[in-house]
Amino acid sequence: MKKTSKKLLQLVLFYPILTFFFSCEQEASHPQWDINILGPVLNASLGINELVADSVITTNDSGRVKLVFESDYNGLNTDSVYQLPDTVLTNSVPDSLITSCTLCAIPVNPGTVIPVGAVIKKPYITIGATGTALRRAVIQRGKLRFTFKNYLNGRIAFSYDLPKAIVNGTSIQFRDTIDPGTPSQPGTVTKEIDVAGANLDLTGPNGTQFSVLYYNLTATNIGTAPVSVYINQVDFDIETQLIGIEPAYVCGYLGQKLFELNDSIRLTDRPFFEHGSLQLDSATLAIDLQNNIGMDLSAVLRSLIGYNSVSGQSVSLIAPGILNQSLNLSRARETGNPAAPVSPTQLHYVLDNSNSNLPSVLQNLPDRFLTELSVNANPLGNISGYNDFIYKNRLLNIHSRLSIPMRFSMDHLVLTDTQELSIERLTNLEPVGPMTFTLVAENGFPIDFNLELIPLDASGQRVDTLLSPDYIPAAPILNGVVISPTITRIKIPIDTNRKEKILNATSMVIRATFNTDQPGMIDLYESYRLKLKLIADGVYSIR
Amino acid sequence: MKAPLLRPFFLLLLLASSGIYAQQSDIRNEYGLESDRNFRIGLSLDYSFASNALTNKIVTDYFLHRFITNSTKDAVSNNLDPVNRVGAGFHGNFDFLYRPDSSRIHYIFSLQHHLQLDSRFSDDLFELYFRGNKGFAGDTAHVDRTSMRLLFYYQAGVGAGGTSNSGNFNWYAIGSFLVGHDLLDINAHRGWLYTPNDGEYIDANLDLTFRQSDSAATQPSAVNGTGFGFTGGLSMATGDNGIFHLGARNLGFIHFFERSSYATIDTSLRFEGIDVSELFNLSDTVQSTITTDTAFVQRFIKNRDKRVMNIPTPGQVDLWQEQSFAGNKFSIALGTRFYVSQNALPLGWMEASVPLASWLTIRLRAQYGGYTSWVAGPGLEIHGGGWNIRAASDYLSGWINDGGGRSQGAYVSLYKSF
Repeated sequence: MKKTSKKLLQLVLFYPILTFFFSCEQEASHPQWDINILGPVLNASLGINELVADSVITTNDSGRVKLVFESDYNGLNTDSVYQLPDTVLTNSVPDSLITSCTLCAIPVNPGTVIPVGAVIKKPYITIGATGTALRRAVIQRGKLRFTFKNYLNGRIAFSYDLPKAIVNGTSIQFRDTIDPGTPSQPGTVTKEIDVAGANLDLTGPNGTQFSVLYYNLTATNIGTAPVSVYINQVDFDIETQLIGIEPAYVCGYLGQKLFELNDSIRLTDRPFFEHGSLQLDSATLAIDLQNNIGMDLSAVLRSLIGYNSVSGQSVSLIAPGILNQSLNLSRARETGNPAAPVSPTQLHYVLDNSNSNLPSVLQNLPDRFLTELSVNANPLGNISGYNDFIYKNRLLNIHSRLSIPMRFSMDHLVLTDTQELSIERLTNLEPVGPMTFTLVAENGFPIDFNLELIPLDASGQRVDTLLSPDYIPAAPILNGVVISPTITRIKIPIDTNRKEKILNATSMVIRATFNTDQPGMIDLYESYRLKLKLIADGVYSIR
Repeated sequence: MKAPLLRPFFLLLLLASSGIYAQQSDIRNEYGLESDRNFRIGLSLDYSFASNALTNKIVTDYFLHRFITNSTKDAVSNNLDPVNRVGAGFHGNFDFLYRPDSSRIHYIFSLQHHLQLDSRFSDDLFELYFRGNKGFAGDTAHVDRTSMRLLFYYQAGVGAGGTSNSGNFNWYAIGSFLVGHDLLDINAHRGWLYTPNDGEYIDANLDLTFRQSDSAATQPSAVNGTGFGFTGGLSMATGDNGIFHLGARNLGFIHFFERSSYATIDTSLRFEGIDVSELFNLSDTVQSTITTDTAFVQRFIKNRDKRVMNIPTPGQVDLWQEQSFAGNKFSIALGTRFYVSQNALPLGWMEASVPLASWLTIRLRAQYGGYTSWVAGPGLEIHGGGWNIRAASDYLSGWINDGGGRSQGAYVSLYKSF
């Protein structure tokens, strides 16, 4: 009995302890309960700086905003003005040019210099395009490849020298030997030289020629038997190949050229507005042309069109004073100062309300300008006396400055933007229970907004419309200035079903429609802001 | 002749058999050794939880990660005072006693571990934490008058106990070397949160201090601090069959090393939501991302450094009087306990013990104070052949009060003397 009682007592003592420990299994990874929250979740403050890049916003002393778009156009490049294309130049002289020949074959004994003049009648390389006459060229980069061909039946030692082609302070020179050849199979030697930085005097041995690079050639029979040099056939040949030659500078007469510069100047990476109408008080477009080329230029602006890529609408500029007129830019001057070698010439034009329909062009809300511009170089020919010049990267600059004071009226102007959204990256919304969000909009602009936030799913389908109603009235103005912001509260109830749809959204369309209800135009000040705050009131699950 | 001889024996028996059932180890000379024994080896475990407001239900649901319902929270809210208390502990003890032959002194060696939670919190803090801030719309939630300390340490003690020649006086004293393992200490010197009716902002004003032992050293063998403690007590015969006891337990401190973290938050801020202005930046083609930056909180933590900390250990001082009646057929004890370095109120208790058989004694204890209010619980002791088994729960009344109980605890010990 006693033993039984003791055993029983032991069981009574230990069983609850064992039961307790083995039943203490956690139901979840964290404690769980629901709380009721009330408080701000998100806020945003939007001004003109958020709509437009800071770099285009300027303000005057009173804070009035003006948008300024500046762009530089360099439609010309050195290659379009002058280039030395890859070519192969040969210096063999056909026998038809030999007008007389008293000895048609000249025997040359071993160790004797071959009279080169008998076989090479034109000891120079012609460089340059047709219609040009170059005096000098400085090479930015490139190579010259020389292939020497020996058709004689004896081994030749030769010396090749370009005394007016200076590379690194010395003229280009080659010394070598060439194996014997036959009329059909010459002995050959190839030499290549990097001519980056080379200074080429192209005026010939006496300085009276143009576009020629002359050379000196000495050939000696180093064979063991005499060779016969035939005057009426090709005995020796030099091929000169220009490879990737880019001039850094050329001077001489660069010929007459016509350039068509038809281009698209982009104002913004994406259009501001979808549709609607905008009335602008004024706009100014200043165009500066700067000629750094040693050639007279005559430019004609045939058209300037503002294009809205969203609506597809375009409006052409009407400006009798500049369109289809010859805009003559005289040639630049060389200063002789290596640091600033060019003294450019300039032209300045201004388009505004008084001489053009520029505001109308801009009211079309263009995101780019299309231009048709032609430039005629040296329209009067070689009036500089072979003193045209061109420096690489110092060409024709066109700088434009479009200035738009933000004084305007709007009628249902719609701005749309789509932002990729990963709400899970923003925050974990799983614990959010039934909630009423309140969007508090404090509008400091004298503009009515209709603001839509539309989440889209992965296939681009609308899953919801977050704001309804979506009207945010304008702030009142006095003497053209907002006196106080208006405050609007929009309730957004989110139940479980709605939450699921929003969580599945992959992007958000933000669409704002703007209206100015005030009679006349309004001014935009930098201080104007639209403040948005999202307040949550509901259940949040602690997990 | 018999009486003088019996008295010390009786006293020892009483000391050995009674009053050991109280939670947090019985100070009534649990380190006593029967006069006819030379050795004793023992193990005891006890745990407890008590609060004036938090119920067993919410604590159990919280730690078992069950969903905490509104009715569970309501049961706590009905108990809340402006300032509330909660304490919990889990303690283990191993001891070895040795008395040389013919000696009145026995030597005590003990090893213990202590895991203790002590906290004070405001009613607003509970409501804010478990219900949210909406209930404070247009009002201020005060979260100051809040502190929490979680301490885990080990203790190795060496001491002695003895009996006077007359047998009317017993004593024991143990000096302990303490090893601090974990400390988390949070104090809110100032704190309030204001939510306006429309919820457009939240104002907060906080002055908090965080202290924590080396968070990288969490392995069981980690030593993050050392210290010393004292446990001791005495008892003396008073009048006829009466005994007066006085004891102190775990009075000491732990010095946590320089690797311990110390940080303060002293801030006054207004939260108006996360700024997502970049989301609407139409002038920027680069996709913007908004992050809920946890560093948002980190910004407010100032004065984060490493420093030493001296932490007093949670201790207690007990004194009580016990009296036996009807020829030792039952005894009654009345006592009081004062808590040291804890947020508990002084505790008063009463206990009745009845030996039902030579091997079985039962007792019933009722107490008021500490972390909670009235609680009561039974205990029993089984002994024989040198074995002594004890089990008790001072908080059984709270434990069995489904949904409304605000305390629970149990004590069990096993000793063998020979």
